[in-house]
Amino acid sequence: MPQTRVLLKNIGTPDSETLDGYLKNGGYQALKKAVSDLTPEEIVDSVKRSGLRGRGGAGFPAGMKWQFCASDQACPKYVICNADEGEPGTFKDRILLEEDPHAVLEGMALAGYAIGANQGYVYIRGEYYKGALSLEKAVTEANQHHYLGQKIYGTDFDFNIQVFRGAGAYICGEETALLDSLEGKAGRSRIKPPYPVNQGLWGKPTCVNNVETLTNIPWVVNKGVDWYRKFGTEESPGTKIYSLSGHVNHPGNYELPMGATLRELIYEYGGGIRQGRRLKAVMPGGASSACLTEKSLDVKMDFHSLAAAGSMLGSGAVIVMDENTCMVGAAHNVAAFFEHESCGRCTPCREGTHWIKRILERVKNFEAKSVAEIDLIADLGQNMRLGAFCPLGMGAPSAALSIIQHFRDEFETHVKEKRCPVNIPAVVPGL
Amino acid sequence: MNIPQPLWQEIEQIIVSYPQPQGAVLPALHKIQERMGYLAEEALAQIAGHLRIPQVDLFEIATFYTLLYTRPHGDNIILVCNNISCYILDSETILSTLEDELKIKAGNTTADNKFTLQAVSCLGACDGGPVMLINDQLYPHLTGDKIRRILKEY
Repeated sequence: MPQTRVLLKNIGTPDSETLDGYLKNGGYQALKKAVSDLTPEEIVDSVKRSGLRGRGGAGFPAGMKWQFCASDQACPKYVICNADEGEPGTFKDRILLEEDPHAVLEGMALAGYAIGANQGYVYIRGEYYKGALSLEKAVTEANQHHYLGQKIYGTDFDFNIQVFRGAGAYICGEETALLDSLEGKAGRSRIKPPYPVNQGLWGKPTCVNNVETLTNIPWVVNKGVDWYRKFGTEESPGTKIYSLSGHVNHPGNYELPMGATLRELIYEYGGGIRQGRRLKAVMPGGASSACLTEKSLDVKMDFHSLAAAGSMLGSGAVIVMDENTCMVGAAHNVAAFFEHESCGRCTPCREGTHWIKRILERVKNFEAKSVAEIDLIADLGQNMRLGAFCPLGMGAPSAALSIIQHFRDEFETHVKEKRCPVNIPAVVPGL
Repeated sequence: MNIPQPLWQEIEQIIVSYPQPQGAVLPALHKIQERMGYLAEEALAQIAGHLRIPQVDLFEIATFYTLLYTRPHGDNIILVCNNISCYILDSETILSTLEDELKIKAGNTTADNKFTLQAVSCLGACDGGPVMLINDQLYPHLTGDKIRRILKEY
């Protein structure tokens, strides 16, 4: 089955990262249409009616965010493209940034026009060197040819974009930590409210949107709401780029209508599990999402259905684990990630991530004294979900808790029999 | 190590490009690191003084971010992903192979100063796992043989 390539349509076309390539693919026509024929209110209204929800992980309705920002009278306002793609398993934005940077810029300019901002920043993670270069080049080209800068398409609309490189901190993908980082501080989450739409960058109304979210915008403006809503489900319209990784035959980015099933993605597009093995667990929305098992393979991958199945769509990072995966090791790995990336500001997250990791380390190394230690993880996790300031801390225990729920026997074998029930043969050749 | 004059001029340009001078902190630190190799204490103090930010804040920033270095590092920086997608494809063996080949533990620099080895969070290239980044070059689908071959290129 072919993919439904809308957002990835330009990827792989000649010189897709250049202005020429983008223009040949119909680029900057949505911006032209918007600034020449449409009012900012009409754009906000279209985005609202499109039903587009944020693709960074939270799934907040993009149009509503824009409206909040547009209706705030304070100025100046800012548009920020969140390109701090750091959720383990996610690599969709990287492709868009490297190979279709002008689509991201056009989306930002449209956001600027809609909310009344003249300045945009792309906050790109420090590890994405190639993406940053590609963006820098695209901004220069767009400025030279007046798709950005002063008096865009001869109108009174000015919009400038600066590329801002992060420096290696997962927390900066959280929008308020991102703002702190852009303001020249260590990236730590702010307590909300106030929300960035009212008090964001330097205290001004700021619209923070994910890369993939913004690349949807030119399509909504160009093709209209009815066309857009032909894809996906009623409550999660549009397509979604799913990043498929782990023990599958064909890992990669696959763009499908929202609501494609996990089974379709893994078996039809991903070619099934490597070496004909069985699937054991899958994290459908990155390291912050609860894992699912074979029983849930027919779940639709949209915001609503995955939440109903006890997990979440998140960034659309689908991480597949086969039957030879030690789930204690997997849970420990994710816990160690969150311990490292916790910004340390709030106690539930700083202490919770630390202790969950330490207990899992004990279980993994057969040092845990009793199964009560496993229950302690559930207790810690519950407190984190309720008490952490930001989504990092709230989502951090999801993997561990869900893995324990589905594979408790494996944990108990580690504790009681001091052995791992899974025999993992070396998968790396040449060692 | 003080910031040399030509670099100051570049930093000044960065500072004026932001509505608030402090917005230039990360871009300026990137620039200093790019030119001077790492963020020396004197350089951080100079930036703090120039932007009228407490020095301690600058040191906090410099130590908060994984890709900022407050000590000299090797000529080439190897970042190995150890997050879940790479981990289940045996990134631990990749890291230990690199440690064996370079005869250092992760977080250290080789005696000849050629390589600094770091285990890091997701590099956003999970379809190519296990992966590593050497400077700005990404190496996917690593194996032991591949690692030995790649290291020889440097």
